[in-house]
Amino acid sequence: MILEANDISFRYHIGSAQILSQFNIRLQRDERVGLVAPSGYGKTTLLKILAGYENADSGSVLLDGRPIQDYKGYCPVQMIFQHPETVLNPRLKLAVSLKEAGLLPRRILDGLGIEDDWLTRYPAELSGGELQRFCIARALGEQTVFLLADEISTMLDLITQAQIWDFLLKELEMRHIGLLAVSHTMELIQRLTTRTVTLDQR
Amino acid sequence: MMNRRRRTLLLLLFAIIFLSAITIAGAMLEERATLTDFTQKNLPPDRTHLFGTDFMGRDMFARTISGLSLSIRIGLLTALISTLIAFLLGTAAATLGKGVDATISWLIDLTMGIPHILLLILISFAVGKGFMGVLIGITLSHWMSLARIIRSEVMQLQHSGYIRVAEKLGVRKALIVQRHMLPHLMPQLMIGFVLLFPHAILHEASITFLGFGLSPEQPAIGIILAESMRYLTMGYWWLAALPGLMLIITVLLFNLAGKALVKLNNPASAHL
Repeated sequence: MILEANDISFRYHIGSAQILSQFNIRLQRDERVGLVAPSGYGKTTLLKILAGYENADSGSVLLDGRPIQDYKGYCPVQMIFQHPETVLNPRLKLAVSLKEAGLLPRRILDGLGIEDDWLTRYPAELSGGELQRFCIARALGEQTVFLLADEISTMLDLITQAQIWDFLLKELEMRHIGLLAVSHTMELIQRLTTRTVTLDQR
Repeated sequence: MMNRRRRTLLLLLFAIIFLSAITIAGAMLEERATLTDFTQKNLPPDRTHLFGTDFMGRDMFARTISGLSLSIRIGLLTALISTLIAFLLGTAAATLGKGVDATISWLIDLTMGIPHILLLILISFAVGKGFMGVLIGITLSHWMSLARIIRSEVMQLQHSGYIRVAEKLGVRKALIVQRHMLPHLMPQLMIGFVLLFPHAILHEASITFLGFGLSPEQPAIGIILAESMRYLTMGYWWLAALPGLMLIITVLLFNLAGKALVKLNNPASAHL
C-alpha cells in the first residue's frame, strides 16, 4: 500500500496564511519517515490532511490510488495527536474510549505499559503521559496500515519515551505499518526513521 | 455535615416537594375553587378561609392553589414542547448544513426580535384564545434561547477531537450520538427545561390577566388578579396580595430549582 499526497495546497481561511502549497509526499508501508520543520510550518496540518481530518484546498491524498475521504468505517491511516487530553471524551472511562478501536491484543496494552487499573478511570484521573499511551494503543487497531505520529512522546520522560518507541518500532515492523513521525528532537528522528522529509516552503 | 453542595441539593428537593404539593393539592381543590356561597362574600382572611373570600363567596385559598396548579401544569406541557422544539431545531441547525443553519438562525433572530408578550398575544388570539391559545402561544415563543444553546453545543461537539477520532475509527453515527453527544446535551436540556417554567408561568398569568388567555370560568391566577383589580379600591387587599404573593413564591422556587440544578451539574459555574 502507498500513501501519497499530490500537489496539495492548504490554508485555514481565505486570506489567512498559505500553510502548504503544491506539496508532494509518498510513503510506502514498509517505510519510516521523519518530518522536520520549525514550529508553525504546517507539520500537524499536513498530518491531519493525510489522515483525512482536513481537506486540502487543491491536490489529492490517495491511499492505494483511492482518495482517503472515500474510506468509510475504520480508516487505515491513523493519526496520534500531540495532546491526548483533547481526543479523549472526559465523560467516558478509558476502557470505553479504547474499545472504539476494536479488539486490541494484550500485547499492545502490555507493550505500552497500560495498567489494568487505568481502564476503569476517567481521563481526568490520569496524567498526560498515561493518556497518550491509550491514544497510541487506540491508533493500532487491526486495520491500521499507516501511522502518523505528531510529537507523540513530548510529554513522556526519557526512559518511558525509549520504552514506548522501542515497542512501537517492533510492532510496526511486525505488522508492516508505515510511519510518518514529527519530532523536534533530531536525534530521535534519526534513530527512528529510514529517511527525512523537510517542510520548508513558506 | 452541611457543605454547600448538600445545601443546594436540599434546596432543590424542597422546591420539588413544595411545587408538587401545590400541583396535586390544586387539582384536588378545583371543585371547591368554583363553589360559590353568597352568605360568605368578601370575607377577610381568617381560620376557615386562609386567603379570605371574593365577591361571589368563593374560597380564595382554593382558587389560588388550583390556579397555580393549572399554571404549573400548563408550564410543564409548554416547557416540554418548547424544549423538544429547541432540541430539534438546534440540532438541525448544527448538522444539516449552511442553508438550514441560516434559515433556523434567521427564525430565532426574528422570533426573538418581536417583544415577547406581543408575540404571545398575537399567537394566542390567532388560534382562538383559551387553553389552546395559551399553550401554542407560550410554546412558540419560548424555544429560541435554548435552541441557540443546543445549536452551539452540537457544533462544538462535532469539532471536538474525540468525536473526530471516533469517526476515523469507524464508530457508527448513531453510537457517536448516543455515547458522545447525548450525555453532554442532557444536562443542558434539563436545565433549559426547568428554567423555562418560571417564564411560562408568568406569561400564562400575564396574558390571562390581559384577557387573551384562559377563559374567566377557570380558576387561573391571571383571572384572579384581573378580577381583584376592581375590588382593590374597596379595601379588599387580600384578593390581589395573597394570590400575587403565592405566584411570586412559585416562580422564585422554580428559578431556584433551575439555578440549583446548574450548580450541581457544573460546580464551577457557582463562581459566576
